[in-house]
Amino acid sequence: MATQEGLDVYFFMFTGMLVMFLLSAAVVVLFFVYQKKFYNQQVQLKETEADYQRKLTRNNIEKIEEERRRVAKDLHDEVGSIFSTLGMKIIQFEKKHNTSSGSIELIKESKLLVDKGIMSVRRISHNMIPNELEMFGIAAAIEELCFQFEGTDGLEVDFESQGLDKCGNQEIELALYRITQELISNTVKHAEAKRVEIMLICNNGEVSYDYQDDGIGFDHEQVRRGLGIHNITNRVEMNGGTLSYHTAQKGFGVSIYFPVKI
Amino acid sequence: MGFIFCPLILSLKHFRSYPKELKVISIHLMLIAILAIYSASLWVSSKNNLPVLHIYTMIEFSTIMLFYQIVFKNVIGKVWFIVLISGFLVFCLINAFFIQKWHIFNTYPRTLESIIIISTSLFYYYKITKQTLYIQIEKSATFWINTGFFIYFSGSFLLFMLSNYILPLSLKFNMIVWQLHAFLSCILYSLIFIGLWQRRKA
Repeated sequence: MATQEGLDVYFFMFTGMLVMFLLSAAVVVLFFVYQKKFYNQQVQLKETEADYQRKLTRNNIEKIEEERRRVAKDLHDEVGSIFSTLGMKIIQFEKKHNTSSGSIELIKESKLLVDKGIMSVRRISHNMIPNELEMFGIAAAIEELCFQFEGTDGLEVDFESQGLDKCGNQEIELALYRITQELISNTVKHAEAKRVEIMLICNNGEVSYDYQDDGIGFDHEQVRRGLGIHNITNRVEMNGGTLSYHTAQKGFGVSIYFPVKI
Repeated sequence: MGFIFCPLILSLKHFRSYPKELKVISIHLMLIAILAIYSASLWVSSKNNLPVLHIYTMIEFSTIMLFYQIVFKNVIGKVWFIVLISGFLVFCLINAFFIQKWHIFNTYPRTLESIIIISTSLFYYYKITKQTLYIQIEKSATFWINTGFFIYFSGSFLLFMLSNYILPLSLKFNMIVWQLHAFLSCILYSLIFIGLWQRRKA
């Protein structure tokens, strides 16, 4: 039998071990909670930063679009009307004055230059704000864009669309237009492609967009770093969409998807 | 003792894919398991297995310190760990030959070992809290293994210190106290298992 002193020693021993065990466990739990708290704070901070960055990008893009609209309008309304008036003045001058053959040539050249000026103003203002997009919708706007690029360096642009009655919202349509603009101009500049295929499907508010060229393709890292591609990514993300790039030895492609907005 | 086989089997299965520190832990588990089996066989044949404990203490301390040497490789120089391990081994041998001989429970080296390992594991927590970039700590194998060592050596500290004193008092109470130690061992190997499992998932 154990003596009282022995029992006391065992009691001390047992409770001592238990207390040490509990204390060490408490230290671990405290450390864990502390660590978790800071980790969550860090995650929250990063999310706030990313959110701020998204808002900043959205704001930038909106400002750019607003500015483009303003410049396009001023160009069309003011410079365009000046050119038109100038053209009319030249015609009036031609009617009022009997002109020699030398001055007829000069008037013709002036009229030609005025016409060129009018065309240039229309083209520039149209590139800045596509009228087709506002008047006839995204399919007509992309169709027009394809028509503009068709034949550049022997490029063949094929565009197909389905179910365009309810195709996202205005912001998504503008984003898709700008993205197509960027992609086709990238293809023309860098891809040495002969053919581009664009497919746009709208299904009950969902928008699915595919772009594919048969050019030399991109290096994946280069795709990620390019400014144009960065803009495309931003435009998709700010409208709540997702995108994936298909880069290969032959050809470059992008798939974009915008879910139904609830 | 059986609990050691869970992390041991897992570590042997994934040994090749482990980083250095987990390879050291795998070796630690393997050596400890071999010594535990040998010790149990001596106990079954009614022979004194305390000499094995002296060897066990030396191997346990050395492998755990090698683990921490890799964990703290950017903070503490390798030479300090070599000095610490060598010093401890010399102390163990002096103790076994001259102080608490081979057939006596080696309370001094066990107590010293506990103090050093508790301090090192606390230092690990300190280092983690000083980091500027926080990680999901529950996914770190090192965190779980360190926690296992911390809880085991903290809980067993008093037992290691007083085991020679309580041994002649009562066999029944001795058994109860050593059962508590077995429970702490289960926690240790369970936490090592969780750590290795986290690594496997990663």
